[in-house]
Order: sequence, then structure tokens, then C-alpha cells
Amino acid sequence: MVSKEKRTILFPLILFSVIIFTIFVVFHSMTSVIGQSERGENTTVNITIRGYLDNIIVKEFPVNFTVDIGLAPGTDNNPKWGIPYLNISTGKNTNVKWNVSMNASSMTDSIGHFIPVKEIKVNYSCFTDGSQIDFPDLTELSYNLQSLCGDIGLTPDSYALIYFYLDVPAGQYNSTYYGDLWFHVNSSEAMTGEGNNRSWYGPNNTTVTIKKRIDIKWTLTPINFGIVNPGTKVNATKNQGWPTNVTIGSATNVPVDLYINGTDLNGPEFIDSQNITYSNATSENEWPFIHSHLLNNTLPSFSTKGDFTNWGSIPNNTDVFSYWEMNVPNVAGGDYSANVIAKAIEAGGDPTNG
Amino acid sequence: MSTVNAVGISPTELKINVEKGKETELLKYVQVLNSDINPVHITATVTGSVAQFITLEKTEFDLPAGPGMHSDLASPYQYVKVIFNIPRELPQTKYSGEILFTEKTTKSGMLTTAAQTGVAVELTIGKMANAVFPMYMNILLIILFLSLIFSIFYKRK
Repeated sequence: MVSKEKRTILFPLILFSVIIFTIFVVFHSMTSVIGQSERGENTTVNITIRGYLDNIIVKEFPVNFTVDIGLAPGTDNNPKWGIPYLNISTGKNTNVKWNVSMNASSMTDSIGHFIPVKEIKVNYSCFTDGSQIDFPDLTELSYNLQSLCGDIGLTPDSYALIYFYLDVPAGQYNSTYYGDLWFHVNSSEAMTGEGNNRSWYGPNNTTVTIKKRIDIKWTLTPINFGIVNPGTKVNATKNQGWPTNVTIGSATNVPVDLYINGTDLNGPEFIDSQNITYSNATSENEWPFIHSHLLNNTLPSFSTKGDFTNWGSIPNNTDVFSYWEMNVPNVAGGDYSANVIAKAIEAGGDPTNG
Repeated sequence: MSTVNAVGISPTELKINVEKGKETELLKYVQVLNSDINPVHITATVTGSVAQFITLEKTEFDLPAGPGMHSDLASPYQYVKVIFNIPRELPQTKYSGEILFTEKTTKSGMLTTAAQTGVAVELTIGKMANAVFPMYMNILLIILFLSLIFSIFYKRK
């Protein structure tokens, strides 16, 4: 008789031995078959491995062109922000050469403004057969398919890096824009049907925030009154204050208010700035004009919507003329000078903003 | 002989909100552009109550010639880094001011002229930041509390 304690030890031992024996027998029989085969006649094994294009893999999206606080309209070649490229490859099971192409949509905002798709440009580097081939020329994107990496194709386990740039048109509306991206890979060596092409769709994958921009230029300056007699009233010299011209540039994308201020005149004596007058006359014939201002040292501390009615909410691409005149006080002879500033701010804003 | 003054900026405003009691350093960018067909020399200054918290990376620089004020072609530009250093002890209030960009003619004349535009800046110090108590501190406190109770009862026995 075997005691209960011994049985509990023996059973697992026996079971383990049986398993080991079974494995040994199976393994031995398999190697015997292989051995016999090696010793026997050669056999031909026919197998066809089909060309297989694995899934498309896209990394480093979305394509965001916005630099922290946005981009200005009227600027070119703004790169993708952050990691500058987008990476296209296929899965590891791909065993055929493949080609890649892409297309994109225009970028639109929620109220219908848009940036045409042709403003998005790419160049790219293709890493195939262990070497890098660069395509540095910029290619405009369109809604139509654009082939990348040339006709050479990409070998299995290769990839393409696509660098994006955006041209922002002058005057582009201040807003956030989104557009769609598509990538397509295909292979003539892969099995036909759904297996020889793959697509990737990225809705709202191109994005940019366009910020407000103001451009101002003051021409027909400095303002000169020439050699004058005390106690007289004189116009500025022709095309040096008679008139001057402030231009709000075409790249500006907000309406603008225009203000002018200046310092007192320094010379042998002191001349108060308010001896100088400027007007919004648009031609010499309108002078003297009832709408004129004395030159102040400071700007108004609240919005007056520009110095004159027609100096408020000025649209882009506009020229604003002003004519200058001076009451010459009885002061010592000599050269006098002052600084005058033309300031453009977004319409309705506080010109001092202090 | 007449001269030209020109300057362009984007954006036209910066609005910053920070929580009271939180020391904050923020970095913003302003694009300064030139559309004019002549190169320009730009100077930058900060005005108003917000000036004490702002440092500009550069206050004077040149921009090459642009395509023309009435052109739709792209303008050359530079980024100016705007660094905000906001101390924690500020009261809940608003600070405002402007980052002014000016292009001033260097030609002499009776009235020397300058073109100027500015980025309006508004800094709002909001409510006190909520202190987040870490979870591990909660657990440690519970353990400490339980240990205290256990030790009291153990001594009584």
C-alpha cells in the first residue's frame, strides 16, 4: 500500500514523466520523417507569394502653419509649425515598390472666407533603397492628385518626408482656416483590386490662424516751410507738406484710424506746435479748408475715429492726403525743427492705449 | 528731396490673462513687416502700465525693401520676441499699453516725420489660482491620521 502522502508526491511526478515522454516521441517521429525525406527523392514545392501593399501610415499631422499667435497676411513660405514635415510610409508587410501622391482642398473659415489651395506648397525628401533623394523645388498643391517622389517609386520599408509651406495672400481676412488633405499610395506590383492602393483622408488637417495686420507709409515728407518771415502765415513747400500722403497698404486687413501729433519746434527760441495747422484737404483747391487741426503734442486718450471724418475706418489700399500751414511767430531767426508722427491703429481703438 | 516712412505690424493686439498669485513667464511674437520699396529702419518701444512686465528681444532693426504699398506680393519681415515676466504678488487688475513700432526719417527737415503703428497690449490679472493638493499628500495624511488613532487606542489598552 502506498500512503496518502506518497501518492500526492508520486502523481505529479508520473504526470510530468508522461508529458516529457510524449514530447520526445513526437519530436523524434518528426525528425525521422525529415531524415527520410532528405535521403529520398527531391520534391518541388510550388508557392506564389503575392505582392502586398500594407496600410498607409501618416505621421506628424496635422499641418498647422500657425506660429504661436498667428501669421500676418501678405507673407510667403510660412513653414509647418513644430515638426516641419509630415511622414508617409506603409506597413512593415509591404513587399513591393510603391508610389505616393497627394491632394488638398482650399482652406476655409466658418464664415466663408478662404485661402486657395494653390497657396499651400510642398517639397519633399524620399528615402528609398537606403538612400535619400531630395526634391527641393516647391510644388503647388491642388485638388487634383500630385505625384511625389518621382517615378522611381519607394521600396518596401521606405518613407517620404513632405515639407509644407503656406503663402498668405495680402489682405487675407483675420480668421482661423481649415482644409483637408489626402494621401494615396499604390503599387503596380501588388495584387489588383483593393490591395494595390491605399488612401488616407485627413479632414481639417491643414490649419492656420491669420492675424490682423496694419501697414502705413508716409510720403512727401519731411514737412518744410522754407525760409519765412516772422509774423506771416505760410504753406509748406510743394511736395514737402503741400501735400503729404499717408498710404494704408494693400496687405492691411482691418480698417484703420489715422492720427497725427508732434513736438514743439526747437531752435534759437521755442515755437509752440499749435502754430502749425494740418488739413484733410484732398487737393490744393480745397485749401483753405474748414476741416483742419492744430498740431498737438499728444494724441487723444480715447477713440475719436481718426483726426478727421475721412481719417476713420480707412480701408486698405487707400491714400490719405494732408496739407500743412504755419503761423510764424515773432521769434529769433534761425533753423527750427520738430518731430511729427502719423499713427495708424485699428479702427475704434484708443490712440494712446495707455 | 522727399523721404519715405513705412512700417507694418501683425498682430495689432495682444491680450494676456494670468491668474493672480502665479509667477508667469510668457513668450509672444510680433511680426514687423515692410511693404515699401525702400529698406526701413525700425525702432520699438513699450508704453503704458504694462511696460514694466515686458522685455523686447530687440528694439532696433532693419528690414529690406518690400514689394510696394499697393502690391499684393509678400513683404519681408522679422519676428520680435515679446517676453512677459509677471510676478506673483500683483493684485487682481488690468494693465495696458502699447508696443510701438516707428520708422523715422533720418533726413533733416523742419518737421521730421515718422510713421508709427502699435500693438495694443492688455494684461489681466485674474482670480487667485486654485492650489491643487497632490493625491499622494492625501494618502500620507490618511495614513498619519489612522496611525495616530491606532496609537492612542493601543496606549489606552
